[in-house]
This record gives sequence, C-alpha cells and structure tokens, in this order.
Amino acid sequence: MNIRSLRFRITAWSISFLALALGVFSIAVYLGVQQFLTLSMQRNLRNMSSNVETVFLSEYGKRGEKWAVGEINEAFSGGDDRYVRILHNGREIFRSDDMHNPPVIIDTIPLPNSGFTGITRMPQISGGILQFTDQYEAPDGRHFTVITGASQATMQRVLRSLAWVLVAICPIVLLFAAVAEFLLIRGPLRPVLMLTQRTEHIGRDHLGERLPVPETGDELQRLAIALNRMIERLEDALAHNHRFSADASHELRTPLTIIRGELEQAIQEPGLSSTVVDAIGSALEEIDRMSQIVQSLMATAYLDSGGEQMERKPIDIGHLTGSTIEQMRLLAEERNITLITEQLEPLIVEADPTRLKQVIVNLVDNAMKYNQPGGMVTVSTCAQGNNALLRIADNGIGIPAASIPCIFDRFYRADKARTRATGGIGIGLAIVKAICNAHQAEIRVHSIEGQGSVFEVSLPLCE
Amino acid sequence: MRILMVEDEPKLSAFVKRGLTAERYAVDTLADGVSGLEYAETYPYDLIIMDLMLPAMSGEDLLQRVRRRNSCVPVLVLTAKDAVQEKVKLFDLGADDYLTKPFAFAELLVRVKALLRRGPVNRSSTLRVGDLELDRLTQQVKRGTKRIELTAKEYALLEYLMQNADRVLSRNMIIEHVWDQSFDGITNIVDVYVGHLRTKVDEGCTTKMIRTIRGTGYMIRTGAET
Repeated sequence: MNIRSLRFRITAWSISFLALALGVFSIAVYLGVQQFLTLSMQRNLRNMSSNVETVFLSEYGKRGEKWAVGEINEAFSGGDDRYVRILHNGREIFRSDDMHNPPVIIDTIPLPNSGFTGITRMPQISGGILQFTDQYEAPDGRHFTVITGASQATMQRVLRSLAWVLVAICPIVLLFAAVAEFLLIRGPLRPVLMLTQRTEHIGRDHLGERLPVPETGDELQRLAIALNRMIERLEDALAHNHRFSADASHELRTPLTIIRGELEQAIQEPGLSSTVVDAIGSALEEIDRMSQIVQSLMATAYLDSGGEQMERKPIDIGHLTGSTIEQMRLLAEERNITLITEQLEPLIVEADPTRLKQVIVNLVDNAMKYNQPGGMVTVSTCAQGNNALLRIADNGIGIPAASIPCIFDRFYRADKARTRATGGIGIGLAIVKAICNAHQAEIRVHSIEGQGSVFEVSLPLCE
Repeated sequence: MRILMVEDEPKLSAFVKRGLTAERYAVDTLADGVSGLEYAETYPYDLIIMDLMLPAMSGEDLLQRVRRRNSCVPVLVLTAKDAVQEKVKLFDLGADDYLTKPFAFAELLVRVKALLRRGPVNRSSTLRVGDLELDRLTQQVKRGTKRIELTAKEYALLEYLMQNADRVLSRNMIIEHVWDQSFDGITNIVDVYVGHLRTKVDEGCTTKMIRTIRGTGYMIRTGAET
C-alpha cells in the first residue's frame, strides 16, 4: 500500500477526524452520564431527607422519640448502599445499619459541622460517599439535623463499564470505517487513475491524442479539460519547434549550396596564391560542417515529428551490430582503440535498418572519440525481458554527472574545448535520441567521469 | 549537349550554369515552372535539372507534365527535403535522379554525366589511371608491376575513385557509394580509408595519384601537377 497515495491519505485524514469526533463524543457521553447519575442520587437523598422530616420528624413531638425512630428504622433500615442519621440537639437519635455494598461502617463517616446544610462528597471513603445534610425545624420548634448518604460505588461501576464499552467500541468502529472507506474511495478515484495513465501515454509520444472528458460536471471533468488544453499547448509548442528546425534548415540549404558552388569554382581559378586557396579550402570545410548540421537538424526534426513514414521491418540487431562494427574497425585502429564485440545475440527487432545502424555508428563513434589512445570500446547485444539491449561501453573520459541530463540535447557538448578538437558538431547524440524515440526505444547512460561511459539502447523485441 | 535548368534562385542557377558551361554544355536557365514547361516542350533538351519548389508551377507539376509529353529526357531534381518518402515520391513522379541541397558541384557534375551517358557506360573489365590498373573480374590491383593487396572496402573505394578519375568526389558521394547513409556526417571514415588506400597505392612512388581537394573531397588522377 502506498502511504502517499491520495486514497490512503484521504482515508487517513477522515479516520483521524472520525477518531477525534468519537473521542469527543465518548467523553461527552461519559461526563453526561456521570452528571446525570450524580444529580439523580442527590435528588434521591433530598427526597429521602424530606420524607424523614415531613413524615416522621414532624410527629416527633407528638408521638415521641421511640415511635419516630421505630418508624424511620422500618422505612430506612439501610444496610444496602445508603444510610440515614438523625441528630437531635447534638445527639444521634437514629443511625441506620452499616452499609455492606460496599461495606462501610457508618460510624467512621465523619459528621458534618453543626449548622451545615448541603452536599458533601467524600471520595476517600471506599467507593466514594455522597452525603446530604439538612437542618430541620419541626413545627413545634424542635431542631434536627438529618443526614442522608449513599455510596457512589455502584455509580462508579456503571461509569467504569460505560468507559470500557466506549473504549472498546471506538477502535472497532474506526477500523470498520477505515476499511470501508478505503474500499469505497477506490470508486471515485478510479477516473483519476485512468486520467493519470492516459496522460502518461499521451505525454510519452502521442501528443496528438486527447484525454476523454467525462461529462460529470465535477472536478475531474475540469481537470481533464485543463489537461487537454495543456497538451494542446504542448503539442503546438513542439510542432512549432519542429517546424522551426525544419524550416530553418530548409531555408539554409539553398544559400549553402550557392556559397559552396561559388567557392568550388573560385578555388579552381588558375593562378591563385596558396593563401587564397587555403582560405577558400578552409571556408569549404566549414560549409561542409554547416551542411552536416543542417542535415542533422532536418533529420532530428523529421524524427521528432514522429517519423511516421519511417521504414520499419524485422531485422537482426545482433547481426547488424556485428557488421557495423566490422566496418568501423579501421576507424578504431586509426585512433588506437580496441573495439571488442562481446556477445552478439541474434535478436529480431522491428526497425528502420539505416536509422538503427546510425544509432550504432554514432554511439560507437562517440565512444571512440571521447576516449584516450589505447582505450577500449565494448559492444554487445543481449535479450533483457521483452527487449533487445544494445550496450556500448568505453573506458574513456566519461561524462561529468552534471552534464548527463543534457548530452542528448542538440548542440550540447560536455567539454567545449575538447570536442572542438574532435570535430564533432554536438548533434550525434540528439539524432540517436530522436531515432530511439521514433522506435519507442529507451536509451540510458551511466557514466563516471574519468572512468568511462555505458550507453544502453533498449528496443522492444519482435513477437 | 543542351541542358535546361529550372531554378528560382538566380545565384544558384548562375554558378551551376557557369560550371556546366565550362564543361562544354549549353545551359538555359529559367526561374519559374510555367516558362520552364514552355521551354521543355519547345526545345529538345538532353537533360533537365529542376528545383522542386518553384514559383508559378510547382516542381512536382512540372515534372509530371514534362513526363507526359516527353518520356525519355532525363530529369535531375534538386531538393531541399531529404526524407525517404520524398525521394520515393520523386521517382514515382518520373525523376531519374535527385540531389539534396546543399550539394557539391562535383557531385552535380558526376550525376549529370551519368544521366547523359546512360547506356554506353564504361563497363570495361579493366580500369586504368596512369600506371594504376584495376581488374574488375579478378579484383586485382596493380601499380606498374607491383601487386597491391586491398581489403574489400578499400577495393570498392578505389574502384569508385578510378571510375571517376580526374573528377573530384565529395565525402558524401563516397559514403553513399561505398558505405551507406548511416555513416554520413558523423564519422571521418572516408578520410581514414583514403589514408590507408593512399599508403598502399602511392607509397614508394614518385607520382602521388590520390589527391585531397581541400573542403571538397578526393580525386584520383595521373599526377604531374601538384
């Protein structure tokens, strides 16, 4: 699972919020129940107290203490989880039985200060005690202090179970919600995934195509429309770029022909001094170079624009590499470079033979150019999955890491001074790249400066 | 031999005309398709050289019309496009040869001569330049009495040079004939092979036959002048 995926993050966020909400909800429920239980207990104590007062104590004077205590004892014998104590003139005239749920000896509960009215909490006594003290003035003027109390143990037990239930239920709910959301969100996110795949496909080399726009009126439709506009602008810009290269090189051809023709004729004029012949010769050499640039620009512009009419047929890349290398042996000898073919697996790929050969020639030539005398260039072809891999390795000067991303750009040179001497025009690799693109082939380069470079071309194998 | 040249770039047709006239050809130059067609229909030319992009009538149209009237005059097309399918289309339209701009005049001349002599081509089995002799049947090369051993490529290169003796051949022409377009422009393979060939052919001889024409290419000739 990709934890950075939108799907995961949306789920994670909403589950976090859900957890927070559940937490707040649980605490609120807990506090509410606690409050409710406490209040109802207080109400009970007050009722009890007023019962004792109005039913029994008001008759105290008339019927005597014995009657009152007997009656109260009958009604509130206690012993369970509550108790009653009555003081009359500082003397305790009634005390219910000790509580046994939980067991508390009533005598150990401290008496309130005289004259105190209200609720006293005694959490220190086992399970906690809530006590209500009331000062009662009977109609005949007698004064009583009525103390009613109850153990909070039961309430605490209830609250504890409630807490446990909440603590146990929340994670389960969260887990269910997370799983459900993670599964459900795939639905609405599927168009995004499809949009991504289509955009990738178009971005690679199908700029002429457009994304399907879902008529949903939602954000995805807007995204698709926006992306389509961007693709269009990209296509326009690239087309403009290609057209410019094509037009520029095209327009340069006629003047170049004229200059060359005039100079060629001029140089044949009899009686020219050797300086003039040299100057014209030098100019002719430069025209040759410019012609190459123009031709290469034209070729890359053509290939970049898709090279639709490129000839494609099944060819054995191993055999082609072998024969090309044989043709280049003398070039290697001349530069004192050992040209080795390691392993040439016969692999059938669908390609334009001339163009593919150009890739081999350019890469091998490059490997020899950027090498030292006595250097080595190793060429091999082998199968790698569904691809044919052409590998050209050298132990030459290598490419600085910073230059690697640029080496396939037109007219880029890693080391201006050095390449000038080798006579390159900085477009060989651009052509290689363009040919690879037109063949849906991938080209990779690994290089360590001072140790050499490895170029790998990966072409889809023919079925 | 009368040649018609239809090309809208006056400077280009001027130097081609000058060069061809020096080679003793009679050249008419016209700058647009319509008058080009008029001339082509009026006079019996031995060869037509035409640009593909012309005012008034496009080169393609001109080519088609010329072919409809007169099917045997050789046509050499000058083109600034060099995509493969362009070339195929040109041949379909009836062109006999094409030349991609920018070209060397030497190359134009070789092609013009080839087109004009179509038929009686020098196919003799032995080529001779000075004391250098190449036997096409046995593929043996001798300079004077000395046998010269050549590799296959060196042989092909020498044969091409000798076929066009006394004529400058550009690197481009050599690559197209002896190798293929894959080597075009990028490598110095021609110079390397010519260098090797030169040591084999000219070493120890007073007259150096293989000559470098700076900025243009190579040529084989009897010697004498330097």
